[in-house]
Amino acid sequence: MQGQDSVLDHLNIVLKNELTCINQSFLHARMLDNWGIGRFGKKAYKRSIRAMKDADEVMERILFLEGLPGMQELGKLWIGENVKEILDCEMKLELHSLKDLNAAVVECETQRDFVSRDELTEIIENHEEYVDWIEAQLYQVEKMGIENYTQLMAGEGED
Amino acid sequence: MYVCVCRGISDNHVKEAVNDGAQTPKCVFRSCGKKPKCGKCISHLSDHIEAHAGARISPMGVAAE
Repeated sequence: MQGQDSVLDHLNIVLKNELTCINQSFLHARMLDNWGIGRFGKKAYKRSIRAMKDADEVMERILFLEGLPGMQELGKLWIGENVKEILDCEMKLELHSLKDLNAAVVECETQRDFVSRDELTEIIENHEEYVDWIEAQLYQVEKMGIENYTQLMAGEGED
Repeated sequence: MYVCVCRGISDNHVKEAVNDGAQTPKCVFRSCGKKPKCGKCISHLSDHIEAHAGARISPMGVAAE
């Protein structure tokens, strides 16, 4: 089924952000594991896998609408050098992705592509959930200090 | 945080390079003994250089002149 060009453009922007998120979160996950901060590492790992599943959904939708998923382009990776910076960098990318996702939903509404809109809304839920988690972590860092927070996140991550 | 992921250049490296006189992204790479790769970081490098150069100059009141 032929999709609107403007919708396909927005879907490709969302796909680019998801691909960026896969790589950024995965690198953060492995860096955190390497530092022995496994609980945070596990969360970043799960975020990366979630982003891959979201990217898969977007790709399938683009192909269904007879477009070509742009797998070549990747956004700027925001990589932190310590736990606090990693939280900040993850937040930065999430907020950037959410902005593009919201714009994509508006375009889908305008073009009356309600199925794409519903898929994007689900992806927004995943992003908002992670943003909420990061906000909670930043609150904890502020209240207990980065040393205590790092100790809290140390060890093996939960499955 | 890392400004250039390809070459592992952090914002601290940029600060050091600016303190050593670097004014452009190219100078920062040279100062770190590395060459640019994908080029995605250039605009961010410029922002970091500008921010740090501004912070370094302002307290001495040189920027206003």
